[in-house]
Amino acid sequence: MKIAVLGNSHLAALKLAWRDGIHRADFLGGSAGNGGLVRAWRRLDGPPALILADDASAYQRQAWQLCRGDDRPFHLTGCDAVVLVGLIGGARPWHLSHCPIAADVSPLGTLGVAPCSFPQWRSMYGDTYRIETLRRVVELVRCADAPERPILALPSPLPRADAARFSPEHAPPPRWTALPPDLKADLVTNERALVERLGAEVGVRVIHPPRFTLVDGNFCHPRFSRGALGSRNFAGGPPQYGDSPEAHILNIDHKNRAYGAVLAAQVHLALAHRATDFAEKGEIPLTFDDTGERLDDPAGRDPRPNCPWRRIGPAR
Amino acid sequence: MPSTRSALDDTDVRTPIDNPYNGLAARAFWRPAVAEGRCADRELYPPRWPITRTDKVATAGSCFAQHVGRALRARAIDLLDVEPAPETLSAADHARFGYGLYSARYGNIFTTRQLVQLARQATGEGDPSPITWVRGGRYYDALRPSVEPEGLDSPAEVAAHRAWHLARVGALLREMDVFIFTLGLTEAWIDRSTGAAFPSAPGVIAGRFDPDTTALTRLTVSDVCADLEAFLALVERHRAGKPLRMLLTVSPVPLTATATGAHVLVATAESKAILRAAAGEMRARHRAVDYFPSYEIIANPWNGGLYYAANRRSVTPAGIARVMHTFFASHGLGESSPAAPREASPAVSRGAAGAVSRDEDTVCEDALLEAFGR
Repeated sequence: MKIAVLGNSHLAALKLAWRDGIHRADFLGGSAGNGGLVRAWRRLDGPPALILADDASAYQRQAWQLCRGDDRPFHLTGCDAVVLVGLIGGARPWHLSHCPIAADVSPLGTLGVAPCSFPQWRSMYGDTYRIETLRRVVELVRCADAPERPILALPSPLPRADAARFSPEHAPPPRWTALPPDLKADLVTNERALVERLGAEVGVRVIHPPRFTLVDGNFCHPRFSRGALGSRNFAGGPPQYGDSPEAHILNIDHKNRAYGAVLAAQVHLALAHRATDFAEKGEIPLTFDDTGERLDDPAGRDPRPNCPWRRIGPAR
Repeated sequence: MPSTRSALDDTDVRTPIDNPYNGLAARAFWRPAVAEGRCADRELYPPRWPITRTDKVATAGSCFAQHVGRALRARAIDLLDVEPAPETLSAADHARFGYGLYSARYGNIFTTRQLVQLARQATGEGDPSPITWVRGGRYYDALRPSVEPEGLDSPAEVAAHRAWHLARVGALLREMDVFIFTLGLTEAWIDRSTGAAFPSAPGVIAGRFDPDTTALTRLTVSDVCADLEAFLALVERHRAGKPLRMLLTVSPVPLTATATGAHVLVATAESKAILRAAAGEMRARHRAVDYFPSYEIIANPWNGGLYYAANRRSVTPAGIARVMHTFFASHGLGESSPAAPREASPAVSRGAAGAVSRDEDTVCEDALLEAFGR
């Protein structure tokens, strides 16, 4: 199965963790900021492919080169699936929207939170520009000859859990902190379903990171930030974001190869399972070390049928 | 001994007290007050009772009332908002979802029939069951369809949102000290089976118009007064006697369209006359009711349309500023620097208003009717 993987700087973590096996992946990254991907990439029809636009910025050219090694077109023909990385935001339940969709979040009503419609939630979610970029990238990669080809979207990673140490605005609001854990979990589930619905409006199936990567529903475990990778790592090399205090400040969101391995497992699972089966049950029951190397450890197989992913041993 | 002099006796020397016009202030006379414009704005409106910064004020009514609420807020009046926008909703989206327009998220309340209906439901004296309209597979609260412009997912969601809204309005009715209500329309669309009054005809925002189920009712002065009386009685019961002051205004904005068959100009004149008469009647009946002449300030023909935009319907910012200046000056709530009225020639005002004549800062579903005109 051939997969086209496109995205912004967060693509680096997945690219470096990916092991071609049952699925073979072809990667193309760039800078999505301010709609950069849409301006930098042009669609060739015929056998559909993407090429660099003539007026693409030097940065986008460099990103293309790092990912591809040259200027050759990125072919979409024959791809069984497309994976978009970092082009949609993650589920951030802090704003406590009382927009019930997947979970029973009725306690919010008793907590004095007004009900919220999905259109209103969509407006609160914001990111209008990024959603528009996502929509246009989807148009670029959608091919008339493969209308049913799944387009998966891996959300931008959540901020590292210790982000508030460097960036006070990442401190959780007291009203969130005060909630009981069960309700927080419900809210995370609900918020994820809302992001999935937003993705569906654009034409993508959102694949959230597994819950074991989360801290307090809004953050990603800081172990996934050590040695975090950025667009400079599209071709490998030492991690763009080291583990120094300066790097911490610079890097709230980017993740390491271990996180990339988690995403790779999610992609494999998502492609192996029907969307309806996947949502929450499809989380991978795997554990990783910080480098992601143990993902290749064939300590066991996922018990679910048709899951191509090799299960690794217990956490160390 | 009483005088026996004839009225034709030109030798009569009248004293200042034998004529009711003698000694009246200049505002009572057309020439100084209007023709020469020698009266201060505040003389248009001697308040019956004061509004202070400590009063909890609520607003509702037709689109024009949105300007009133905004000006009150800007002047640090304690304007109640029992359904504030979520913190994470950008300010640009507030009005689109009905936030910040009034003291609750009820949208425009064009008729007194709507007002009393809302009060009945919010105080538990009326059937709170929602009426749901459908458009494009989405569901709308027929009694405030504009607050969710994309509708809701299901009738159940409409019911949940409405239940929340009514609870908040109930709290508002208990809390407020002053209620400012702008009378907007006398043409009301009524559901024949339930008597529910809609803010717009079915089919305009959502739903489907069926003359067998929805009727046009033309409210009379008596109807408007009866509705307002019912509202005051409901609120009084709900507040266990806590006093309420009610300030009525009449929207100076003409009808966008009429369904009466009359010319819209004639229908507008009739509607405004009814509302103005009812406001005066209510003021005469109740010490706690006052009338603020925003309608007269904007719509009087001797202005020559000074405060109307090029479409002769939207009120210009200068007009709104004049209204609010008059209001604040009359209540001694300070001078408005940015909102101070600027006298401008009609030509200048119209020209300047070209950019603002679209009522772009108000949410007004009756403006949608324009799209149905030929």
